[in-house]
Amino acid sequence: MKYKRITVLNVFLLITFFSCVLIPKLNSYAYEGVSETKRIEWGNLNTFSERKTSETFYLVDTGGQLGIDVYTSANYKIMAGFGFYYSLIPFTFQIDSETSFNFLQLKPNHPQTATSILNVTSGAAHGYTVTVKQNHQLEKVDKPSTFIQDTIGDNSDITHLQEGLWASNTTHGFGYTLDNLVGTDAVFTTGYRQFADESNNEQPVIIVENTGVTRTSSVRVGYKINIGGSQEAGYYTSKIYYNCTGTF
Amino acid sequence: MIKKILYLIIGIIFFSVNISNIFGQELNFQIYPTILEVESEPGQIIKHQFIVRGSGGGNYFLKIYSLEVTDKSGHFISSKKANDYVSWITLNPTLLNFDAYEEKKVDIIINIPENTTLGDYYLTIAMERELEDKNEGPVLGGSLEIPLLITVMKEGEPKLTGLIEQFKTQYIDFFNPVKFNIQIKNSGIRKLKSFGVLEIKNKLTNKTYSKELIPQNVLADSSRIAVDEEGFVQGNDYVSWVSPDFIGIYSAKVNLYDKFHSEENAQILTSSPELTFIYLDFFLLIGILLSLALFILLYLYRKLKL
Repeated sequence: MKYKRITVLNVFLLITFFSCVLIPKLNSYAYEGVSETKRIEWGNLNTFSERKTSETFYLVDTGGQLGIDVYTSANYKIMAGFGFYYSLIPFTFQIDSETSFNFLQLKPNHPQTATSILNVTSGAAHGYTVTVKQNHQLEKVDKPSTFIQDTIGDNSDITHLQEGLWASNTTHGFGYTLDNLVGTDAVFTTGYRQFADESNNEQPVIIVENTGVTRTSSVRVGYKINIGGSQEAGYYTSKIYYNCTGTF
Repeated sequence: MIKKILYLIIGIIFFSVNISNIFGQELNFQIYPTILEVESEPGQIIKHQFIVRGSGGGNYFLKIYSLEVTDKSGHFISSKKANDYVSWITLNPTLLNFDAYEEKKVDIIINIPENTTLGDYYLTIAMERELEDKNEGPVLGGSLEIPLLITVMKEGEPKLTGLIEQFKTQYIDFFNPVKFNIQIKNSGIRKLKSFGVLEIKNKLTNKTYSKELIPQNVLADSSRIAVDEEGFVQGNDYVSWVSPDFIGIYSAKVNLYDKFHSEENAQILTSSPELTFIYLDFFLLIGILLSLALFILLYLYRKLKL
């Protein structure tokens, strides 16, 4: 009788042991996707698409889409888009601006806003950056050195590197803010900044960045302008310049 | 009838004016492929092509600048600077106009002077455009830049030199995948690609496993965190390996090669020190602990009965 009871307990122990070991293993096959034997291959999006290894080179070949390849001759080797598995994601930059970007007639202490949208797609392995600069502050077209100053904000703390509060209608100047539409790549999303002023030797400032592969990123730039009663009437202009680079 | 025609004409004029206002200003930039890497010798002339796409309604300019590296991880910014070696490059055309969805081929000619010092020369190809300045407010402009990395070498010089700056993992791991932190440093003056293999050996069974590293660019005097394909896809900053065993005592090391390791004449540039680690499957551990607990209970039960 005692022997029988022990056998039952032993069977129970064995079942417990194997259920702990085997059942989780059966379920863990989702890990196969990251096993050392798993190869990640591109879908056949192009005419042909495969990974190649030959005696002389190693590449991801996405034939049918011109450009990505290794070209060799006796005296040189060109690697075009070589070895980057996200080469199928085109590196594109788009600046989409409203026609109302050129502000309407300004009235003192009546701020106006406008927007541009920056879209980036990037297969760059180590991400991308978008910088911005302005050639000079908004300058009167027919009277050089007469400017609409860059805003310093309600607390006089806004610079081209530091955002700050700008809510008051009696705070004047020109500045911008950022807002993520797709992704989270904008470097700030509250408050306003001045544009980096090239004529004042200020370096372009990174406003959108990502350190990884970015299928789509979309950021809205919100411009704001407000003038005081003493601002001279006339047209004011400047050049705002966005630059996008990838890191490979 | 005349009234109707008049209303129709007025309507068409009205809507055509408003449509022109509704359409926003748009600047599109695309360069393909996204990077150009050239290896050649002094005195060589290399011709190649790349593709650009843009939006209509204005002039695009193609320019070459020197690349300004901003850190030791290979990041760079637009420099707008023209070093001596910028003059090696000729682009044709440099001024482009696009129709809708049009792509254009651009010729690039790289003329490396005879007396060039061996080493790396980093540049960018920039595609630039700005909207028309009507002197009525701020004007937008933009550019897209891709790297053009030129390595000037002769008879294998300058040599590739790299080292495994970091190689570590947990001494005991209970969960798959086991993670390895690997960082590769290029201590030379010539761009290195991280052709590497992580080799793992189970000391209990003598089975060996390997994991390839993605061949990333490691610029001269820079470092890069090595990743495998899964890590690259998932954005990880480590190399992962799934242990097929429930338990194992393993040794691991990384070999860095001068080219893809399965190529003929591939040579090991450097190897990491060997690491030892233990993998014990978590559920096996739980099973053992539960079994132990049950055996103890059983033992106590039998002892009490007696």
